[in-house]
Amino acid sequence: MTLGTRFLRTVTAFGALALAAIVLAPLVGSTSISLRRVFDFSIPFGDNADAQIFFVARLPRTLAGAWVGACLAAAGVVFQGLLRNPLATPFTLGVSAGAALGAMLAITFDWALTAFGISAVPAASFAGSVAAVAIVYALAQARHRGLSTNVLLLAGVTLNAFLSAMILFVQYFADFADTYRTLRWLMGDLDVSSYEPLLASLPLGVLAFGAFAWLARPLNLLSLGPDSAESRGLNVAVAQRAAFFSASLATGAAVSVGGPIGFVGIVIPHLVRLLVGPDHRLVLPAAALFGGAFLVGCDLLARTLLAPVELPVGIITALIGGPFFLWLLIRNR
Amino acid sequence: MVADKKPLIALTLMLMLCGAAAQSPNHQITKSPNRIISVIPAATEILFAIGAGPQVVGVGSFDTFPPEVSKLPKVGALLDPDVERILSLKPDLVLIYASQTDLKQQLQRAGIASYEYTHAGLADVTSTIRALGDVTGHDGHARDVAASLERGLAEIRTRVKNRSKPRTLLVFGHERAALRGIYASGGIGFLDDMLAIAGGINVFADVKQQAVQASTEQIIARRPEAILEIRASNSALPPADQAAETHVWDALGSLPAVRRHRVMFLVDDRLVIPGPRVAEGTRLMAQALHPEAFR
Amino acid sequence: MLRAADAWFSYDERTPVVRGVSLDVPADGFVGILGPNGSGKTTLLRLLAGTRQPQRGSVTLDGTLLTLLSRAVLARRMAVVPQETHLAFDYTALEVAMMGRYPHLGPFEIEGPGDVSIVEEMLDATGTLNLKNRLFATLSGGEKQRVVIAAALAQVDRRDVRLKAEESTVPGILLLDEPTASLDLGYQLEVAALLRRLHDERGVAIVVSTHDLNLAASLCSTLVLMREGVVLASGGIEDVLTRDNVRRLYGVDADVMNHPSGHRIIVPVRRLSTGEGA
Repeated sequence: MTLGTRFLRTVTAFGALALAAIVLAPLVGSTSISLRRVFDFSIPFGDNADAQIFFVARLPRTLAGAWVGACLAAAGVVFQGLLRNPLATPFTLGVSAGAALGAMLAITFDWALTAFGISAVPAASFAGSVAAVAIVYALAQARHRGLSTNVLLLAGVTLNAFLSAMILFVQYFADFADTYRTLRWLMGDLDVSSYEPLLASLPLGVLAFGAFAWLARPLNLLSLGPDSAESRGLNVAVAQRAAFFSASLATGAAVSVGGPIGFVGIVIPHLVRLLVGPDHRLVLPAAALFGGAFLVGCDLLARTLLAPVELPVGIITALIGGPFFLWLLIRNR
Repeated sequence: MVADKKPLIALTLMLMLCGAAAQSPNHQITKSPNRIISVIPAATEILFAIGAGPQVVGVGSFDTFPPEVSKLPKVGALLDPDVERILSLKPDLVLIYASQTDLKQQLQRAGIASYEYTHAGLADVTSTIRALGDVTGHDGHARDVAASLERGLAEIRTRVKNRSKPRTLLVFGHERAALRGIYASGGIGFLDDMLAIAGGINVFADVKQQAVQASTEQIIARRPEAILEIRASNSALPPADQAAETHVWDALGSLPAVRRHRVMFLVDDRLVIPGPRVAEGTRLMAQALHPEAFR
Repeated sequence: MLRAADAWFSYDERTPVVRGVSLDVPADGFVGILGPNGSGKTTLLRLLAGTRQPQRGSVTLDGTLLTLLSRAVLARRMAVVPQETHLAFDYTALEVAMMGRYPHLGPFEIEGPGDVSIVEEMLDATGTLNLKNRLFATLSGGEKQRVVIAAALAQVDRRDVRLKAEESTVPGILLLDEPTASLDLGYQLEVAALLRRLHDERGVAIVVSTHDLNLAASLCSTLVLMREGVVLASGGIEDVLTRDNVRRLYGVDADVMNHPSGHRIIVPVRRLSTGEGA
């Protein structure tokens, strides 16, 4: 089977999965709604509670889940390729925490700036993730042979602890009353109730995915190691920089919408590699689509399991991803 | 400076989120203590209301009422009690939150009596008033305060008795300028009790928690006819911002409350401190829900 | 064809690891770079491959400075085979070999049937076609090395419709860094025989760095002896592999003799104490 055929099959299969998740998830929720009423456009929208539940509560939320999941899973793939370590993820590297700190600063201090059509929260979120990745990346550069799992995990733990402390510090000075909401936000929340956060993060995310499309083949070469990749004709410095920025962009976009939701960036890339092999030209699109479907599913659980109250979606992904991560650690020795 | 900006509502909420601990027996209390410290805004108000004010030598960081407390030393609060400061004031009774077990042990070791306080329903406010009266030797005065509080509440109840009771969403916080991270009162706790007396039906009455993270879907599905947004007075929300925050609800146009313009902001400490002024807070709620009844 | 002229290089701008090396790889060359560990062999290979640039002196390919050639053009002429290849992910042997086609493809292009047939031919030439669907990580050291050599051959293959006419006639160059150092004796011989055959049958020029005197003697037509970044001697086997040069290169007293096979063989006898050698 040629790569072209495999690509089409992969995208079709995972695309169908993502589409099914996006179409089915809004049909289910903590309340029951009548689909006929939802699409009965003779009722004014303002009077149609079923339509409001569907279009204001569930649909933006489902789309947010798909978008955030796609960004986090793809960013995970790119970080793993860039650092040549299958245990690297936006969450374990502390990149999500960096993005969260940026977003938190923007939210708390009410930065209403909009520059070049990019709103303040995603921009600050991106800046935070770049800063965090820069630290990890500098570490990787200082150690020529790439990052060992030990160093990577330690750096991530340290960065996570440090950045979480910074987040609480910011909260402490800003508005103590928001602390409980900050905590909730840090566990992930996709109940966006409007399309605004999605649209605001779209430019950054689209830019990131454009870079991912180009990066797919360079990432394959990078897994040979930088010297071998260079001798195959790849401009390694450019590819590494592009990977570094685009993965940060995607993480920033995701975190600005849903908070630092963990483990999507590790569970999905691994499952996808098991299914389609390691070629990034298949892994990247498959992970993005599967990641979207996965997070939509997790959020569905989060909002229905304990209805009428809901669980933070980060708890669901952690319940699935935590044991999975440990299993990977054991398997990789 | 920093402490001034931190609204005490946070403490209330933290406690709600932690869940109320069971009331444990308060022992070791000597006859009429004369150096009392309270780290709890509601308890501090009670002490002053029942005439024990002159015995108070230290208060919590968030305590602002009555005005006299501003002259007293601040000794921290729920999360950051300053034990050294507390001990240096040589108290013979310290009023603490039941969840402050570390502080309790330290006081015990120092041989200082403590009184454990828990946020719960409105009924517990009057019983706390009476209990503190007994402890501080102002039992008569305390009984009067409790009785007047109960009378105040009863009066509100009669005023709204025959009115139709709107289904009400009682919100005490959400993300700025967005309908995200909405926290509302569930079916237990003093806020729920206050709402019931003020003539509203809590849309989250079936959720037996003090605080509920309310999803957009649940809010739409529960169709509140009135939305009360309550905040502590120092949560720095200028009137212009209040208007903006009211308008974020326009996104949910199907809510009867939004269509009937019944989204109201109430910014007042009396709403969030379950102390002797809680009847006044309840009255504010009742006036917002049933303005005709108070003409 | 590939030429270094008085090339100097240091990683830290202070201590040069390659000091004024001149070297010429002819189109049909089989050049061995010989020296002890840390003599600058690997760095010299990097300079020749163009993945590092000399701070002084020059490296040219057909008279053009490598720095003036694009990465893709360079990669289509020269391929590097590192001592060992560790992959971050579980690619198959075929996928690894296919990565050799990278410089022949546009940014979003995928390998076509032509690329697949070239890669399969090279796997066949290195005797690894039957391993193509195996995971690279599960192969033996020798098998891995042969797959990486197949990738290198596919990389410098000239029969590509996408190549310009003048590009398609010049021979490719393989640069191998200690290709046998981490292999067992059997695999060492296997890889050595493969290189010999590729050179003779396919007309690729080969530059191989090694510290193994006998391997170099049996394989190469030209040798460059390096010690501490400097060329001690270079030329044909007979002229270069002398008892005196071995002593200067390794500080070892050795018997140098001619084997009935026609190869020169070196038998180390004893290590000289410091000061005694050079």
